[in-house]
Order: sequence, then C-alpha cells, then structure tokens
Amino acid sequence: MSIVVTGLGAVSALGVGVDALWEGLLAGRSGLRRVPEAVAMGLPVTSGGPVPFTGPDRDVRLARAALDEAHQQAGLPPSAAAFFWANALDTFQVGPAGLVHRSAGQCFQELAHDYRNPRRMFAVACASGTRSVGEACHALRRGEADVAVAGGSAVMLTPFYLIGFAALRAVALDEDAPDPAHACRPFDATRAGFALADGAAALVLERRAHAEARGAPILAVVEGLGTSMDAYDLNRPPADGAGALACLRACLADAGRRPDEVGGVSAHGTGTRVGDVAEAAALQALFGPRGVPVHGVKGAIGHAMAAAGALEAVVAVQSCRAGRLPPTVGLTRPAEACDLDHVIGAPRRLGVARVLSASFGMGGQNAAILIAAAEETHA
Amino acid sequence: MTAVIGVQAAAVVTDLAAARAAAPAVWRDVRRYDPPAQAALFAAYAVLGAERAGLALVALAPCQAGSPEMFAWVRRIAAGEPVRMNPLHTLHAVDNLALSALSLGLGAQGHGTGLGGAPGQWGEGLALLLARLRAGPEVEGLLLAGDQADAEAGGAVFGAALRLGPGPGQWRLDAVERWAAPATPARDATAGLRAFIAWLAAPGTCFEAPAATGDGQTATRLRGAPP
Repeated sequence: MSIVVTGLGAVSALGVGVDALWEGLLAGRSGLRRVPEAVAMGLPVTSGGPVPFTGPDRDVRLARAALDEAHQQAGLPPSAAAFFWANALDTFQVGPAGLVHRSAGQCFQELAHDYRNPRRMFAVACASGTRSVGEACHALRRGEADVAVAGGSAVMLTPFYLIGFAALRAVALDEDAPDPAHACRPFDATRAGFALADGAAALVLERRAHAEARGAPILAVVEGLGTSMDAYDLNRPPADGAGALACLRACLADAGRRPDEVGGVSAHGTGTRVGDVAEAAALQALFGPRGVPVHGVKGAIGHAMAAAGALEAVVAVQSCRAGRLPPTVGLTRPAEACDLDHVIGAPRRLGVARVLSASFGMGGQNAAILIAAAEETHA
Repeated sequence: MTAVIGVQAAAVVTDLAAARAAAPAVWRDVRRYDPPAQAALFAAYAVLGAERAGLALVALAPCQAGSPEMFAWVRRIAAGEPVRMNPLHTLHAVDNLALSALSLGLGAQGHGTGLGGAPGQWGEGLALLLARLRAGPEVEGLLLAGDQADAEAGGAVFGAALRLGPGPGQWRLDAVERWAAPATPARDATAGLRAFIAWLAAPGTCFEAPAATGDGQTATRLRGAPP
C-alpha cells in the first residue's frame, strides 16, 4: 500500500509558504533574530524564530495558513480528509489586558472542526510533528481513511517558554549566542542549545490509488514510520543514542528498506550539547562514520517543537523532488563527537532521492519517517 | 497478532492522598510531577500485570495542563518579575510527561503514543491501542490519562487506566466506533475512560459513551462482549 503526498504548506521563520522555506534553506539563510518582546522584558534568551503572525491567537492563524496552502495544492477541501495534528503545548502570553492562556487542546478542536474522523492530536514533545505524519501514513494503510492531513503547529516564542527552557539548559542563552542569526548551531563545536520558534506545516497524504484516480499531483511517497522510547531520562538521551538508533531501524524495517537505500538524513539537530552527540552516535551506527549526507534545518528556522518534524517532513519532500539537500545553517566547524557527512555551506545533490527524517523528543520520545521521490531517481 | 483482546484490568484515581498512602513507592517516583501526571501514573501502576517493559503504551495529555506551581511562575513572568525558574516546573507544561515517566519507570523502550489534551481523544487512544495489539508485536498494552478541574487553583484530580491484553478478561473489546453526537465537550481527558470503567461493573455488548465525553461533534461507541 503506497501512501503519497499531494499537498504541502508551511509557515516558518523564513516566511509564509513552502517556497519561502525551501528557497531560504537552499540559500543558507537564517530566519533567527532578536525577539523584541524578549528584549523588552530583559530575558536571558532573546533569540528565536518568529513568524509573520503576531498576537495571542496566532496559534490558530499560522496553522490555518499552512493548512490552506496544502489544501490548495492538493485540490481537496478539509471535509475530504482525516486530521492528524500536533499542537504543542498550552501558551501563556501577555496581551493588553494581561495574561492570555491558550489551551493546545482547544486550538486543536478549532482546527479539527472542518475535518472528518479520525481526528487525532499527537503529543510526543519534539517528535509530535514527525509522529503525526507517520501515524497518518499508518492509518491510511489500515484503511481508516483515503485522505489525511497531517502536520503540526506551535507557538513557542513566549516569555514562559523562553525562561522555562533556559532553566532546563536546552536553549542557547544570549551570552552563548551573541549573533541571533546563528544562535542555534547544530553539530557545531560551539553549539550551545536551540532557538525556540513558532511555526506550522501541513502535508496532505493519500492512498496512491485515490490520488491517481483524481489526477492529483504526486509529490513524494511516505514509506514508513519508526518509533521508540529511550526510557533513560526525562531531559536527556543516552550518549550512545541507543533509543534513536532503535527508532531509525524501526523506520527502515517498516518501509522495507536497507540503510544503503537512503540518500540523505534530515537530522533532529537541535544544537544541544548532549542531544547532537547522541544523534550522531545513532547515525554513525546505522550508516557508518561518514555513510550518508546529513543536514538539519533548526539553525535556520529554530525549534518549533510540535511543528518541527512536520516542517522537516515538508523539507524532506522538497529535497526528494529537487534531488538536493540544503546546507545546515549555523554549522561551520563540526564537533569531533558529531563526525558525520554534514552538508555545509551549499546544497548537496542526493544520490538516492529518499530522505530519513528524524525527531528525538524530550522525555525520550523518538520518531522517524522515510520519504522518497514519487518516482525514485538515482544519480 | 492476537485475535481476542479484552480489558484485563481497570483503575480510577480521584483521591491523590489515598493513592499516595496506598502506594508510597509510586509516590516517590511521581511526587515531582504535576497532579494530572501523578493521577495518571497511580492509575497505570494499579493495573500493571506481569508484563512491564514489553507493554505498548498510549497516554492522553490533560485537557487542563499544569500545576499551581507552574502557574505561579507564569504569573510572575507575565508581570515582568525577574525569576530563576525551577526547571521541574517547566516539565509540568509538557504534554507527554506521564508517558515518558511511565516508560522510564517500566523500562519500556518500545511502542509509546502520546495523544494531546483535546476532548474526546480517549476514543482515539483506545482505537490506536487496539490496532497496535492486533498488529503486534506487543500482546499487552496500557491506556492512561490524568486531568484536573482547575490547573491554576488546584482541586479535584482524576486518573484512569486500562490494561488490554489477550483473552476476553473483564470485557472483550471488538471495535471502537464514532457516532454523531453534538455536545459541549467536557474538558477532562479521563471523562470517557472513567464512564467506561464504571459501566464495566455491569457490562453489556455495547458501551455508548456520553456525548459530553466526545470531541463536540462525535462521541465514542465500544462494541464487545462480557466474558
């Protein structure tokens, strides 16, 4: 049973739309910058990846922008599709009248209203977006629907999360990241944590027969989903990347593929000191020390938590279509412990148009999906 | 792959103090978490059988997330006070806390699914767990949820858990269905599970969940049979 992608939508720190994201990444641009609200409040973290939507209700508006773009490309209305979405966490913002608390569940309810069943909200931290895409693939395989919209949206650039994730030593403090455009430096020797971001991404998935019958554009194929749990620590992975490796292997097994059939990796690559080492260890174990080109997008658009994996899935689809992996923004001098075949400075041509996209979330929640070109090409 | 899957054990927690007194070892593990995570974990540990690390886990995030401690930080930050936040309280906002904590406690490294705090997700969680157990490789699975009446002020807390496994157990579960049931949904991730567990005291062949335990548009119907 082949599950194909027929529509994409994205809102990121590089702008509104898939083209803004893709062209920005290919050009090696960073959308990270100072966040005026954080500067005004004197927070220890003032860098992040804002999107062109403001106000407390931007959780719904930025998600709708990504969903609308995906539906338009697919040529299908929401009422035709099941809904697999990740909304991240509740948000706590300061409006003119004081604190505004927005529930992630109510945001999901509002977005899901126009869709048909099943309507599932995924919540596995930073792996949520990847998981929603993979779970949609599995639900379509099981025949739960013919069409599903999958993805995620997140509003993380709020004072509470900037301070909260600084307390967890997960984000790069200003003292470690004087240049806001390069606050996040995945796999780099100078990495100091991630940059929080807002964002959203949506993918329309269909059974291939359904898409072909209606003459829909087939952009790529979702070949598999793998998951695992570290069962190690709530705030850090094991340094040997054992949980991540199990997840990557499970994904390839689900897709019926071998490591040498993968053309590139879209890494989780948050830029944390511990997380990048664990991820590199897993990739080295799976592919060999320098076995496959690896890139990551969080140096350019920040970490949009529940939306991150969905944004990376969109980039993986575009990579397979174009046969190129964008460079990892923020990476100039890879850390010794992160020795991989990194894509640095300029895009890299894919030998095989198949990308493994990985997310390794807080609490040890891991997910990976395998995305291939609609018609796989070899160099 | 297991042909017959049933409810092997079920538990509801509505009194954290009583749960703490009854299971002090569990309390030592969960005391640093927010109340919904504590309630979900007390319920989960109450339904455990012999299988632990090999369980498939499905956890529901609370509709009303957080804790009084977390909201105190939120208020201080919103007021512009300089704070040095306790990192544990950041975790109180994290939606997969109960799932990850249970995985850690059981050493479970396999299948875990976290669903978010939207009303009605309990039916989706049950459908996913049933599909997973039918496909394997896990033969037993656990669905857990916790929620609360007021995250900021504190107050009533609810937890619920079901263990599904091979054989009819307390009730054979054949299918999870949805039916059109417009309603104002309860903002309580455990409401549907708790209604189902209460119904199991004198079960029939079809449990039609109250409309308020759905997502506002549809509600859940479970089909099966008593042993």
